[in-house]
Amino acid sequence: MSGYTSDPRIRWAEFLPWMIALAAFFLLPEYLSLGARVLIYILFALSLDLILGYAGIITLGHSAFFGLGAYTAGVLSAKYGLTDPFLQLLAAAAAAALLGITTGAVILRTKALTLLMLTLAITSIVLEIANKATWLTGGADGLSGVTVAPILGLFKFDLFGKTAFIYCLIALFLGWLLVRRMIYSPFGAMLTGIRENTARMHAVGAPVYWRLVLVYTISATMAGIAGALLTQVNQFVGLNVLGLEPSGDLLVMLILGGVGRLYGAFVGPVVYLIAQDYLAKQYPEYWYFGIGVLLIVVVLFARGGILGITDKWLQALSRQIRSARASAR
Amino acid sequence: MLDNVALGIAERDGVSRRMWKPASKHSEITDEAMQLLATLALTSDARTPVKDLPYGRQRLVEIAIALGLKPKVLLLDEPAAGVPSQDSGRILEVLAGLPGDIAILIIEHDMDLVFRFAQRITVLVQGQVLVEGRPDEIAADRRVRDVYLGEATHA
Repeated sequence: MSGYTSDPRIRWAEFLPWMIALAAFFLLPEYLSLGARVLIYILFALSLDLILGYAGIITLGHSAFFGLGAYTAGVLSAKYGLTDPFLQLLAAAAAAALLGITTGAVILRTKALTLLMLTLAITSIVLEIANKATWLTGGADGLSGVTVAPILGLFKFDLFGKTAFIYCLIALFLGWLLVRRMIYSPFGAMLTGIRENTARMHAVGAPVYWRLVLVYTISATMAGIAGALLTQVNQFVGLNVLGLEPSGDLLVMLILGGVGRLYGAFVGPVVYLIAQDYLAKQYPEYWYFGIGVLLIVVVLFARGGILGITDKWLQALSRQIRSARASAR
Repeated sequence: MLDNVALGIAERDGVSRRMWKPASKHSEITDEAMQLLATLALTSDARTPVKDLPYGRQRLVEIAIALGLKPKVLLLDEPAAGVPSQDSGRILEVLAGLPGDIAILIIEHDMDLVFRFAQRITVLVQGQVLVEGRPDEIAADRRVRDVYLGEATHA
């Protein structure tokens, strides 16, 4: 998927997500709000895939950046009257980047379980701050009164989520472009090298620690932007964007889709959020049960996530076709 | 496998920080890596994952990575150990063909290899320096003969 031997050209299948998204825009107008949320979580999952799937940084704290971005946009709008959507995104990105570089510089000296616990600690701390600082964040009641000015002064956020959907789609496209370029670049190859053999990357002279801090910060920035988008679309921020739960949900989404495959971050949130939407309507109290079953099935029978198993089936299919052709001759 | 060598070269050239242009388009890196593979007769394995290569070839890849860094000093701990003879011959040829300003320290029990290369030999026995000198001095040294070069009987 990355490296000096891979072909960086865009394959036809890579147009699929964008065509599906555009088709959904025209064909499913009553689901656009859900659609915008799916797009936001895809961007969020993409940022996680960059550090988990490529650099091998394991984290349960990615919601810290998502939540910080969400609250930055929300507080700026509700408390300080900054309603321009791009300025909100910019501020959220800057805040998340700052948190990313400072916490990353501390915790990326560790790895494996220690790292996992530290990331969890950081998002828990941010959650507790948001919970206690009621004068700023509204605490457990959440932050309402978020207003977002029309994009470029032209496109108002409408009730049906049309503007929100396209807005998020553009943001996701830019995020995808960035991540895709990055994983095919020397930087991406170097990250894969760190994941596969950290000792060797040290040996060839790579400043592993600084590279990890860098990619962690980039990923944090993306997560912060995703969080700000969520605030703008919902016009509300609640504590549920912080802490273990959204981090865990995100990890489940990425595992469902497939880690380290770029498009796993697309498939996972779609399946997860649609399943959640459906299950929550049918069984409002037990919808997590359905998600749990889904996760168990994927982990047991589809290593590499939904994309992993699809890959395997496609390969098996093409093998069969080839052998059938060979025997026909 | 090419990636393993290319990563080292990219690190040496400071290309590893570049985030936009696809890695495979950095032909200055891939070309140099391929050239290095050619000198080690690894060209045909360039796209094979290292884990699928026989052990001897994996050793060659390691040496290719090291050479890709353009080292001034090369430390080799039994470079030919476990490598089939046709591959180990290749390792020796490459080492012999390196520019003279690279200092090479080889730790080796294979006396043929040692005498073929070494300009200066230090003989260690039980962790202590027994004798140090030019190859012809060592070859003539009685004690070394007893310990290493002599008959199959070991002290």
